[in-house]
Amino acid sequence: MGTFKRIDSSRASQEVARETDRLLLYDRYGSLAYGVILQIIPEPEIAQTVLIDLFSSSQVLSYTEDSRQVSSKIIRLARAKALEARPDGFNKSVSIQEASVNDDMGKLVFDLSFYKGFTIEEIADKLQLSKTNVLSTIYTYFKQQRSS
Amino acid sequence: MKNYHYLTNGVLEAYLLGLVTEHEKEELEQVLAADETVLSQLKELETEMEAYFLRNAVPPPPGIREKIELRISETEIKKWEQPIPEDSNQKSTESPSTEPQYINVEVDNTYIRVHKHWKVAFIAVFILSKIFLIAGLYYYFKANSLEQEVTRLKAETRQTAPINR
Repeated sequence: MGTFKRIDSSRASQEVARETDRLLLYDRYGSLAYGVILQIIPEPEIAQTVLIDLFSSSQVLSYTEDSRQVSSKIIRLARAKALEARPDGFNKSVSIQEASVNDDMGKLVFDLSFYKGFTIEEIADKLQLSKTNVLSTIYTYFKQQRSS
Repeated sequence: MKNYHYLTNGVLEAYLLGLVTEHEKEELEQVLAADETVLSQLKELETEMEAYFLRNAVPPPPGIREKIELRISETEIKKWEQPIPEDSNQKSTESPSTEPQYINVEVDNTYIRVHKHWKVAFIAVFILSKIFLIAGLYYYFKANSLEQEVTRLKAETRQTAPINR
């Protein structure tokens, strides 16, 4: 027969509150995170696994305690987890030359850095730009997005 | 303003997107702690970035929330199952409470979760019950036919007995 453990009720209620907070974060940012993950891994099954992993992770738990920059933290974590979980075939599978055919420079740099996981240095090297230029291209891209 | 370049060089965007190195991150965080203008620009940018990603948001399929809830519960159960360190035992003996403390559990669904080994046990019990049922019926009918046979033989014996005499 199982036995009941005596425990600290305040700790237990804190745990329950934290669980609820994580689910509240999912309710608010679940769609946003799933959109980011799907852009990196276009396979729904893997993307859903990453999404579950994301919102049940201990990192998200820390976001419930510190409410600053939650959306950007979730975006960053969703990206990191999705890049980590990409199947081998997806790893930087699109070369910069291939990707540059259809995209404008701002979108290209943003996609390569954020969705494809290239570092700023790698992009600068491949596109024969300086690191400063790559960063200012990202700045300009978001400025355009704001005005559009 | 000495930090003006942070407003236009794309470092804030890269920081929010997680594209900066650890060194750049630390450097920027020092600037953010010291410069209100850069901090407010970052907050504004964060709101715009959230709006940008919300345009590409995709609602997750139904059932994902329940799976997350389940995963969190499993993690919490594992945490509770871990042995309590001796220090915490000492703490609890130092401040004994007169009232027993238990978790307040509110169950809001009608499902129960059991260990996966129960599945095998249920299948075994089901198969055994079928075997016993079939065996029971077999022996019932066999006993019935034997009883009829005995009755028939008795009747035959009764008929043949006066002739033998």
